[in-house]
Amino acid sequence: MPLEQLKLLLSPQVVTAAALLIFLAGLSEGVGTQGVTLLMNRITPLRFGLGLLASALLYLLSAVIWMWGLWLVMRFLFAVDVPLRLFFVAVSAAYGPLLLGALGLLPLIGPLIRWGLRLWSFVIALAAIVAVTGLTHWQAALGALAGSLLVEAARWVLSDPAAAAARRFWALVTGKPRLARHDELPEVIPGYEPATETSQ
Amino acid sequence: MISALMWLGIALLVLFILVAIAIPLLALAWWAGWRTRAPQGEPRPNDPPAPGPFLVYLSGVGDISGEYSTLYEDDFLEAIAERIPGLVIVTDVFAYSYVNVGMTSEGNLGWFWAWVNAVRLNKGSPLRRVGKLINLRNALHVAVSADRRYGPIYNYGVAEMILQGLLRHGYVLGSGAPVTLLGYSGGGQIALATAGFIQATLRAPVQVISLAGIMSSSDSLSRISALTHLYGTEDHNQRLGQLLFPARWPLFQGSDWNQALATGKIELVCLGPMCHTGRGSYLDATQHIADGRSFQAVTADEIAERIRRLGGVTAAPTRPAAAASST
Repeated sequence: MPLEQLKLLLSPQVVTAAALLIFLAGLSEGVGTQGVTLLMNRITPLRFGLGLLASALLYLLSAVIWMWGLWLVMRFLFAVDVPLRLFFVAVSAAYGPLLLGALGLLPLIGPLIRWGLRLWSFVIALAAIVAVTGLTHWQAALGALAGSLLVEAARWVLSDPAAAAARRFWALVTGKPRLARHDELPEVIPGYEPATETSQ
Repeated sequence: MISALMWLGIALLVLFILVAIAIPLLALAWWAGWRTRAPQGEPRPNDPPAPGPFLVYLSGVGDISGEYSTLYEDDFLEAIAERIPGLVIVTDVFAYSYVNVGMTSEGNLGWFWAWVNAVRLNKGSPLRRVGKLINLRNALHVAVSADRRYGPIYNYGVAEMILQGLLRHGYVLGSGAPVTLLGYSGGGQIALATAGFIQATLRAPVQVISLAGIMSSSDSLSRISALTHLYGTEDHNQRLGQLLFPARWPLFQGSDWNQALATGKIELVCLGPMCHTGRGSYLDATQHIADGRSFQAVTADEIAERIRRLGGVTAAPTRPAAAASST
């Protein structure tokens, strides 16, 4: 890669733009997933906004951790010598399709669209890794898989404290001690039960 | 020209996506307490208490309000009423609104739907096909009802409107009067998805009769007494449910649908050579089967038989669902 282009990619503006892209993708995906859960839990509009914002920030954080894991694995497995910043900027392009993550809200076909977008994103990530590292597609795929496994393994090791922290975090943001799932909604509609039932 | 058409197509697609996303979001916003249910105009008078049985009719996706019905439907419901003395029929619930507000009464778009309805009813209008927008809008509501993320909330809202409809027509809470939900086409999905709430709330025998219903699997199936799916050999639309909803595929034997099918709680009944709507449909009184009965009479007979059968379940001491599942 020519030095001038490399310098441009490593400039703080480009790194910020890459982070912004991931944040917006997180916001869009958050609307499609976390947004439904938040509304189902009957939280206020202010807390809903805070929840989406928090969800997008967590998304950005997890993306950075994932890319860092990938970068470490690429270095270890294939002795790739690429600056972390450059790697981050290149792979962040994979989050472009996820800007459409809110389409996941579409009834019935939404989840299918979300998986399609994730597949598209993964393909772009592979292409970006190949372009920036010079590895073959198979090496890039192997590296991406190993990097993802590394991050998942770290998540598993830290699962208990991470889950507790996540519960505390969401309780703080939403004002609810615990977020209910869609299958935990009431079956009985209050006010219409037989009189003998209500008087008990 | 091609470019203009392309942009028009893109604009319509974007509009469709926005509308499709807005429907579940508005339901969620209502659930979250961000929106209140709109007032429903003049309060409807309550009928005197009635012993039942009760039949709630939920029309197909061509419906625009709880008050709107076609002559076909009026005749058909009258034919059912003639067969069951004392049957109370509830028709003023609009299946495609969790607030039971008809499309022409909607705050911002009421004028638009009134225009679309007027155009589709005008046989000489070159724009009659615009009327399909009503079907499309209601089909999106069916999709929301069938979506496991939004369905529980949307169906809860419609179920409450059905309960209000039952009370308006003289249902006495605690009477245990049996309730049959009859859903035609897309109304089948709404009937099945809301039936679980109705049964759990009323603690009375509740069954669903799907008249060519296009419906997904539902956890209501574990609570209701029975689901009868009536279909015709010339009706290709009703097969969509089997195709569109994976939980109904034989591959997923553990789904509520397949479990209910295996235990006999779902009964599939072929009525004859009926098609989905219009001439030759289930409601047509001018076409006849070999024994001389009209298509309408065949359908009404089958439904009346199911209502009578559920009435017998009333005498069962406990758990109507368990009692009926053994039939």
